[in-house]
Amino acid sequence: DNMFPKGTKRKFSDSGEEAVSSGDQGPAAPSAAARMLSSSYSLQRQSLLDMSLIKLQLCHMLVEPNLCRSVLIANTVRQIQEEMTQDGTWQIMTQALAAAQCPTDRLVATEVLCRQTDPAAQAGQSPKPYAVVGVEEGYHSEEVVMEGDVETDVTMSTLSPVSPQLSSASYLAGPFGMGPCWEEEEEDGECEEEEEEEDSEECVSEGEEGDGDHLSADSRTGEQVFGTFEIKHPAPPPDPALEELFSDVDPSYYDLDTVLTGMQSAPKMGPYDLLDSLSSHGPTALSSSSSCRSDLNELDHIMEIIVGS
Amino acid sequence: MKLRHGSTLTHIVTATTLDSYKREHFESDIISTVEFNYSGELLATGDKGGRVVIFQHEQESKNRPHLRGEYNVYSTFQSHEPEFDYLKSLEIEEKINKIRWLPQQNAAHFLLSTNDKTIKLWKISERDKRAEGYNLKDEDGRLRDPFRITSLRVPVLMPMDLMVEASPRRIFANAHTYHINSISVNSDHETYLSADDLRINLWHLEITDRSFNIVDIKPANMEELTEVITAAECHPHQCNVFVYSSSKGTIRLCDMRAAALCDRHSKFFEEPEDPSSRSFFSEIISSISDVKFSHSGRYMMTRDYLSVKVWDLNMENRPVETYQVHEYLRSKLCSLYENDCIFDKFECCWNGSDSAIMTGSYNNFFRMFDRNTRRDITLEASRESSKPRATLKPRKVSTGGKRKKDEISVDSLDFNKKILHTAWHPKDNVIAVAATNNLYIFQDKIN
Repeated sequence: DNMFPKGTKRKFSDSGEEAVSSGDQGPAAPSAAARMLSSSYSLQRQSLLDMSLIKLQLCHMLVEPNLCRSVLIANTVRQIQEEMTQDGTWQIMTQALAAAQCPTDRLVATEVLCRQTDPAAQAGQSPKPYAVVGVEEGYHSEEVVMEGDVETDVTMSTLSPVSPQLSSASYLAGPFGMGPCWEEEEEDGECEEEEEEEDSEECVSEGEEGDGDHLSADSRTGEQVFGTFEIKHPAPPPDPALEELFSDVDPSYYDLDTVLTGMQSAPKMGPYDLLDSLSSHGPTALSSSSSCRSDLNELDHIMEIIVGS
Repeated sequence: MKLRHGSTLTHIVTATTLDSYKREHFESDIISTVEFNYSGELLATGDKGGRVVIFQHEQESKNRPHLRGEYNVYSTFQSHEPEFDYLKSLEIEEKINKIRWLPQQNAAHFLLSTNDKTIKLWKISERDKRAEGYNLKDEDGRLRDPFRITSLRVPVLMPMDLMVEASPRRIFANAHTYHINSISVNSDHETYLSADDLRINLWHLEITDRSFNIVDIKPANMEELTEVITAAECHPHQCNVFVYSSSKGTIRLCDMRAAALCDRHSKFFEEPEDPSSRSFFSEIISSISDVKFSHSGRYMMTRDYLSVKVWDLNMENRPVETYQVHEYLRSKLCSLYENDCIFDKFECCWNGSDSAIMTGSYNNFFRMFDRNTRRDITLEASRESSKPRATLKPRKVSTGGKRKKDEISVDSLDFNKKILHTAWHPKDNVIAVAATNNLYIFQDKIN
């Protein structure tokens, strides 16, 4: 199965219309056109993007995910995203989605998921981990005294691997830049360039509370992608907007074909739908709203137990 | 070691004791680490089930002096058990990630074994005598009635069947949030380092309740994480120097004398990327899976997905030698990404004189490179292709259209049969190769 035959990986860079390494765009219009010519490359690249997103979702297994693997896959997604942004493919996709009528609650969902939930991260601190192992059987392990801060509280994020639905929803709003910018018409297309950027500007969606919230990429998303290793400060109490968000989800599932071939004529599509369609050949990205809600309630419940309220 | 045309390796032992008992392929038997001790007398293996099996080199038999002795099972013990982290609702695997021996200081042997979270110091000691003739208990161990004792005797040490005991002497726990990928004993023989994905800690072998964090690359916001630590090792002679490799194909050499926290490297090794071969998989295949200092301490070797590179510690901008392990896989990277094989972490090792290096590949193939003659050889570790005392036949993967006789085509390779762990005897030409749940030990034929 040779999806990327040798020597054809970077068709448009071979044509010399774009300086790859420097990132210099050159004349935008002709290079974009040149890229559109290589539809098989675009398809392959899209397929690679889908594959990568699925791999990240499947990270949440019983055993802690391999962080190195997750990071490498996430970097690959970022690279694809950057390239698609540079050659204009990304804007086309996001504009098509923006043109579609997004229900308000989906915008709310995006905003909520974008919101910074970790007060420590907001403060710019880096809490030192206090790795806690639940059980040590059979050995008389000595008590451990860790130097540094000791956090014993748990965020919702650390428990969320048990609900893949929530995690997949977060991906949309998270570092892969798919969520926050769909409602916007980006002139410069810088929205998804770097996941590291705060992207607070880009995350402001129309029709929302219009809060000046610091909509940097959701720390929970990072946690879910990169594993739930940290025990950090507790998340704020469950947001009523979250409840609302899952109450009205009506994911329309789209074929991969539709997404790839019929971007312009795509029917109504919201943030969740795109992920659904992208991973339609994989596990269902979003289940019904009821299970999402029950998962959230379960998470609340678990958190209450652990925090000891 | 001279690699003459045709193999010079002789197959002497064909499987672990586990294989001889069981025919089925149990996942817990998958060997996850292989390591010779400093003298080469002992060979330790760790497996996915948390067990450690130690082999000992038997003395050469007087009848057949032309053959080196064999390795037989010396000790087996359960090092780690599966655990459950209740706070995170996640299992902690008992798989042994690494074993490192301590230099021998007395009759007992010590080794460090680690899983994802906990490092343990094990003492392996022999007992070949036992005291007999106790006054207060009889030979069965039952207590004697003191009033029945009419005379006293002095217990005498009598020989007994050799018994090898393994006991945990130290448990170094709760210092790693992320998965431990490396441990390395320092040349001072008092400290060792342990590395996980984002941090490296320095321990004293005597102290278990405290460790010093010497490297921390965790970003303040996990969203910004783009690089992890993949391997780390102490310099073999300079106890203040260590290196760690990253998922972006870089190696940092750090000096512990410079600062308490070695986040700033002393040297930074990275080979500039070849722009003509850039693809979406470039970063993944550049990720370094293993780093090993040469015995001399002058060079280090890194393994990435397709190649092995030898670096001179005095030259940071490029390696001095690059060896292609399985370049024919470069056109298959997308498939290998799909089936996750691209994330396989191959190890590499030096021979005792640093003149040859070895690493594994797929289809139970492993590769050896002679640094002086630049010759290389591909061999296979499988029961079908090797019989006891037989000479291994070199293997070849055909890359072109025409497949010669005895060659195997790339598409016929079995990617489930991967050799990730190999070890080379510190002095002799004896190698240990772990092929899934089988251990092969090969030695050079003495002519």
